[in-house]
Amino acid sequence: MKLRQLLIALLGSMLLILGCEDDNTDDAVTDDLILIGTGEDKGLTLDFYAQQDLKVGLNKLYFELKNASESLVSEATITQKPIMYMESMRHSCPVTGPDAQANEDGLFTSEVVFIMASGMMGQWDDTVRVTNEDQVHTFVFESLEVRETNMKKNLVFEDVDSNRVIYIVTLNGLEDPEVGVNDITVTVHQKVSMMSFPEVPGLSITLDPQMPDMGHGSNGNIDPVYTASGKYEGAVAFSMTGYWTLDIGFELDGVDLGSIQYEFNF
Amino acid sequence: MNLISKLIIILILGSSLAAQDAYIYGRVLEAGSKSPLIGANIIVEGTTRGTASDLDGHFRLIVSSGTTILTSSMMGYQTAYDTLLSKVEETHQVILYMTPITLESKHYVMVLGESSQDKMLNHLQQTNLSTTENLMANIEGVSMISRGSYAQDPSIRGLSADRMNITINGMKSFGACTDRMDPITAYVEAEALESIEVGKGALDVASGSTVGGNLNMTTIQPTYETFTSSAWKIKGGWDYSASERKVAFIWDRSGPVSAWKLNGAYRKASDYHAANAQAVDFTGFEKMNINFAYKKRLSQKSQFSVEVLSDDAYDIGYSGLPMDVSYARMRMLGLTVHSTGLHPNLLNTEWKVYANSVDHWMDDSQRDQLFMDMHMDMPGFTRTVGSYVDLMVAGRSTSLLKFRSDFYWSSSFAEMVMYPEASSPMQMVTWPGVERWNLGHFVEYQSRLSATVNTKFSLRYDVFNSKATDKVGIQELRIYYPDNKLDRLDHLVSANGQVSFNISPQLQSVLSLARGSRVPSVSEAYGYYLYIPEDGYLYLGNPDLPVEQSIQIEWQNSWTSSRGRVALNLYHYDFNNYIFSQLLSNESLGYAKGWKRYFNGGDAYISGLEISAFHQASSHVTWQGGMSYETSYLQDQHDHLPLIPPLELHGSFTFHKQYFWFQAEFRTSASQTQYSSLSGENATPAFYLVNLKGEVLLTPGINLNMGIKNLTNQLYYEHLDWGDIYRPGRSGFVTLTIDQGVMER
Repeated sequence: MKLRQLLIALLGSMLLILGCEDDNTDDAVTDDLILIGTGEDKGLTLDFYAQQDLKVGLNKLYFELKNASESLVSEATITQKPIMYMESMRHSCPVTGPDAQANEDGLFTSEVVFIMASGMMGQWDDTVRVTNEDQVHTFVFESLEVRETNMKKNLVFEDVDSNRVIYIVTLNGLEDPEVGVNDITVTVHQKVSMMSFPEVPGLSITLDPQMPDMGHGSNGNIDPVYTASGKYEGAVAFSMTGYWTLDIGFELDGVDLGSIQYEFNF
Repeated sequence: MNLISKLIIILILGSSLAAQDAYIYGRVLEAGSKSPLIGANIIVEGTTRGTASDLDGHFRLIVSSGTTILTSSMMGYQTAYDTLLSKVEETHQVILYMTPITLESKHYVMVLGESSQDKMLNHLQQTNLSTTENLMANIEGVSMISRGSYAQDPSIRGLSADRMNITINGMKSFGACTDRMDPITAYVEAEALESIEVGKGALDVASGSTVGGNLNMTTIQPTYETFTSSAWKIKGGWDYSASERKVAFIWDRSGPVSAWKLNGAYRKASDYHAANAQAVDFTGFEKMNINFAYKKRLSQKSQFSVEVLSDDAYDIGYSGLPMDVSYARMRMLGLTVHSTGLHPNLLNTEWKVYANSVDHWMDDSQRDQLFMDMHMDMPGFTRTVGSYVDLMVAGRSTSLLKFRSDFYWSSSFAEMVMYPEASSPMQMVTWPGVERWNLGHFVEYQSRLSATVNTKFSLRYDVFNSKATDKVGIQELRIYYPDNKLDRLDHLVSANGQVSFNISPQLQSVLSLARGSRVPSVSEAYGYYLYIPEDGYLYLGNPDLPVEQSIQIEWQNSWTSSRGRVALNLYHYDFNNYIFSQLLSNESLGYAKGWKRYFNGGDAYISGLEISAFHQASSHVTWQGGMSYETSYLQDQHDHLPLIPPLELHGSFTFHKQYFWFQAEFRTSASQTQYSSLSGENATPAFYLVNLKGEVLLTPGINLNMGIKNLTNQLYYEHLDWGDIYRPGRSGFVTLTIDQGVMER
């Protein structure tokens, strides 16, 4: 009799402990991410994570939303507006997401292409609005540190109506180039206004790496192909270390829009 | 032999001495290789007197004065006889040569045979300024590929590099240069060289799987002597055309239980002059070579030996390439245990373990014209460790069984760095730290079927594992082979059979059939950005290359008389999976015309004949000559094979009398019009050469050697030479040798 009671008590307490773990976050996932900031507004806590330190180029960002009782909120409408405050003006940058549904790790994922570095020219703030259960929560993350990568360039051309068009292009994956095949992601967004940067799909992008000292290029390059949200994925192969130039050419519907050049010395 | 030695011999032999006895001090050697035969039974015919040869092949006998017939018999060899006529108290030095009862597919060259009693090979005695390469080029079917004047790469019937195995005393070593500027034949200087054993084709797979053959250089070994003695020899020489100076010394110490020998050579040469009196730039070099061997008897039947080889070379010019070698270093160590007669049927056992390293630095710091106006360094490093066990077992009196198991592990790494003025160095790995190991098992069965028919069969099984290990090198290769493991395992089976017919005591005919194969080389499987100047293309390795295979048939005939020998060889080799190159792109890459990749070239064949003749016209005069010709074709590519030598004819006349030796040599090569245009070769014009050499014995132990090479001052180059760089014009040389060991006697 005593033994059976003991067993029930053990079983019960086990269930209790296990049950309590249900709504808790899987801490292992966020361990690999960098915490940019935490905000709290009207009972909702927002943890702002990034895959790596914020930089000029494509950044993968994550939001973790918790309610007053410390449990994860997995459905909410979130919008974010990163704005760079400069001396005489301010501007935003391309933003994608997050979706209204969190992923399997309980995180809301989004992508932001920071087009300038923070510092002497100005500072970046990100205002995040969360609508959950008909309540709107606002979180402002100030003075985000965005480091320079020299990977953002403008592609400027005139369209058929002689209008000046600016595409903002960032090259991701070559911050630390290696001999061999390097996977890259090229992002292309149009600067429509200071606050509007829609993606540009449908482009034909070609890669041309060259070694000016040797007068040759390389084999094994994969021209980037559109995937989603302004991203084109491909690969650049460097056959050896040294000084390289990489010309990225853009074409839309058979019309050559021009090219931009990056330099590498490794 | 001095009085004390005689007394000791008498004491040792202990037999009763009659006043009319004579003394015999002899040695038993194997007829081809000149290696000492241990445990041969030497009997004085008609008596019960006899003895056995020791670990060095030496023996001593006391015989009655008058006519003595000695017979020497040993399992696996034809009985040898020698007849002497001796006076009372006289001492005779005798050498008995024993021919294996069965077949030898090897061709031997005995070099610098100062004490060689075998007149048949004396004619090959070259000048003392001869290089190992000159000596090799005199064997029919062996040609030397020249990439400069320093080291030449041997090829057997047009097959070279990884199609053949090159060893030093059975030890394998691999070059550290992606352009093959450092063949290991450069590490044995002529003074240290005892013999060159060449096995042609896939008939000789005892030491490794091959399609082209084997070349083993043996170095002169220390010898045991009854009484401890020490001797030295020094040599100094000078060659006019390249202002090459050479100084060499040999120092040895011999005793009854242990002996050692130390060889050292130093050579320095400047650029040589071709026949048009133009200096051929970048042909100078400087090197120092040391070779040390020590051996010690462990028991009556066993001995242990250690050998060390060391070679350092500086500022080696390579006229055929855009860069030179600033420094090349080789270190080699070998340990051997050799036993004889451990068991009545176990004739010979040998166990050897060895290790070597080659470090090679190429750069163009001496050049005015830089490749792309940038300095370039190309270092390369190889490390090899290996071991083998050889067993020789006698069956019945007419059969012989040989077993061998061998293993080696080798690693090869090379890279290229270029230094532009304003930006970071450009670096790429050209040999990605390839590690290769090989385990092989070999068995050979020789049998005398009848008095006139001998047979030999051999079988070899190999496993090879090769893989790339350098991280950057692997990343580079993944550009072209994204999913390749860059790690391969190959199994090879080689088999061959030979039947020889002794049609008459003088006429022998041998028919052989062989199947051999070889794995792709480090460059062929894993090379990256290898620039081949011959065709101006950059080469890429191919890790999926299949094993190259060959079926070979050969018919050898020889007619021997007391005065000479004539031999005729006919051969045909069929290849499949011949490793060749495939054009990838003709888009110019700066200094290169484009890209090529090693690939399976398909079926190919080579067919040829070799004739050699030797005639002893009198006791003073010998004539020797030879001819070789080969034709080749690569079926699927509709092209000839690269590096195939043209028709070649050579002859020499040698006169030898007491203190004087003279040789006149003539050589001619036809033009080579059957060249491989896909490999960037072009036709090579015909040429002829006349060389004169002489040696004078000033006093016992002091020799003077002189000669004139290229007497008629021909402006020429050989088909196998890279870059069509001219070879030296007329040149003279002189060498003086002082041999204290001979002087003492």
